[in-house]
Amino acid sequence: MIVFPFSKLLHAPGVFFSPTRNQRNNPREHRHLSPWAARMEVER
Amino acid sequence: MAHVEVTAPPYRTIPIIPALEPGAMAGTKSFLANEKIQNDLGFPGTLVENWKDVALDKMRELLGRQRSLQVFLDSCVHCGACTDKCHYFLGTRDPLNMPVARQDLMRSVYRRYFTVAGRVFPKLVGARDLTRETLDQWYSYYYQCSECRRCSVFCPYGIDTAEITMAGREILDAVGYGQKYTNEIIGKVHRVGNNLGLPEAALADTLQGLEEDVLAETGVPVRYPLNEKGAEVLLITPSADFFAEPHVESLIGYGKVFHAAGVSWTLASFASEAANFGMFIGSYEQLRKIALRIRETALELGVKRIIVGECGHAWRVAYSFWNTLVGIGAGATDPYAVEFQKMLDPKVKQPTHICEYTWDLIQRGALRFDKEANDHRIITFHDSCNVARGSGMGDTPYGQFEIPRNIIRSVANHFYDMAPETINERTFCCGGGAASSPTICSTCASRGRCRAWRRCSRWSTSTASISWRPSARFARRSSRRFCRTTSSR
Repeated sequence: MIVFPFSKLLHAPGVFFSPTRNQRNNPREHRHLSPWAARMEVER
Repeated sequence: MAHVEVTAPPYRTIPIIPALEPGAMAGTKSFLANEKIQNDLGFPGTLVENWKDVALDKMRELLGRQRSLQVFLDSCVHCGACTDKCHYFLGTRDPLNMPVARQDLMRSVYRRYFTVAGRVFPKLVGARDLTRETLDQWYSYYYQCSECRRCSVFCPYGIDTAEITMAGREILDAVGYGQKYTNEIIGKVHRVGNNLGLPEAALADTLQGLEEDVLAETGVPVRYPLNEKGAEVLLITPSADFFAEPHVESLIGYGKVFHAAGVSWTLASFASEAANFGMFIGSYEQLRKIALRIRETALELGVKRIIVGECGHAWRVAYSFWNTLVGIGAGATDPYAVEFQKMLDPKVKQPTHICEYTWDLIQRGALRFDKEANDHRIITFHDSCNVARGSGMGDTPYGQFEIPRNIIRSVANHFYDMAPETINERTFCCGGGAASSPTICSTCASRGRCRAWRRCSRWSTSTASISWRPSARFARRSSRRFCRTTSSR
């Protein structure tokens, strides 16, 4: 009986969806603010 | 210096995969934070009665707030690429220090309560309940991760174990199971303004001493201003630069660079800390509260440019998060950040790393060096993990590798890189990060050198770097003043 990692195989295309590799490197140029963080911006 | 016979072990090829030793670090725990330290940050003082509900609520909140956390918990396929990359595993041989296993400590709980498969047939999908033993394991192992992200470089999915470690620590803090080292230091920043708890008088005294020392050594009246309104540049530097050796040499160097550039600059006592321990515990609220000091100071002093001194974690927070936290950068749309960005000079990168600034001056020919004066030194560069993997420098990708090396090559003739699998993005962490070496101060042999340090040793102050000691300059000048004026107890 051979155990074949089908789960790994089916998850393999996930390497193309990696968030760490698909995000742009522009934190100094663009202010990335999520909605919950924006709700904290209520004072100077 | 007399010639000394050194016998070193035979050279082995890095990385060396160790034999597993399960449970090797299971009993290792950092000191727990007491009630006062916890309450100062708004966390429960001790482990709360309904800790399981609180922990799961906090986990639910984090999964909702941070999409990355859910993606990283979902996408691991246990391929094993990360296992032999973590220096904690390589050093301790404990299999739970493998990044995949460290993530699985949380993933198993996530699956049990937040996925259908985990709720219906937990044993089949490796889901387990959140028990007290699991919580203790989390405390032990999530403070054995220095959040250096070396594992993430090799992971095919780019899973960031540091994100999971930060979430783990947030959950632990939310139930009152906090670490003394980080939480005490964050409290100190809120009270005094920097990690070491150095009050303004001590900073002013140190800077005055540096001015006198530099004048005596070089004959040049280099200034080290503090809280000067209207200066063009605000330098935010780690507080260790005021206190420790060799860090104080960095501060002396920054003053010389600004002097050579002819630019007016200042330090600030209210924002005398570049490092942000809020990142270590993953708490956005603490991160933001510490970073807000910089915006407040910059607005008050009316500076045009913010430059960050050399500190790995500080630069990661400054580069990646300051724009989000308080708007130091560009591209804001909300009113307070827009007001701040209008004050800062848009023609330069905000914030700028001191290396970017220095390299720019070198390229323009504003700084002149006598390279032969360093011919007796053989120099290498240890990439800081947070700089190498968690940030950038300059206008080109990989500038964070090239710019520091370019600066070293401009000042010295003998520069050599270390083994290829240990430099650039594969650099090994120094171990000082994320407050995972809280026993540094208790083993620091130099406590006896300075009376002030002995007195403050129970604060467990340390920005934990590779073997530093309190600066002799600080000890000479400020120890008596420090003890008289210190007020944070």
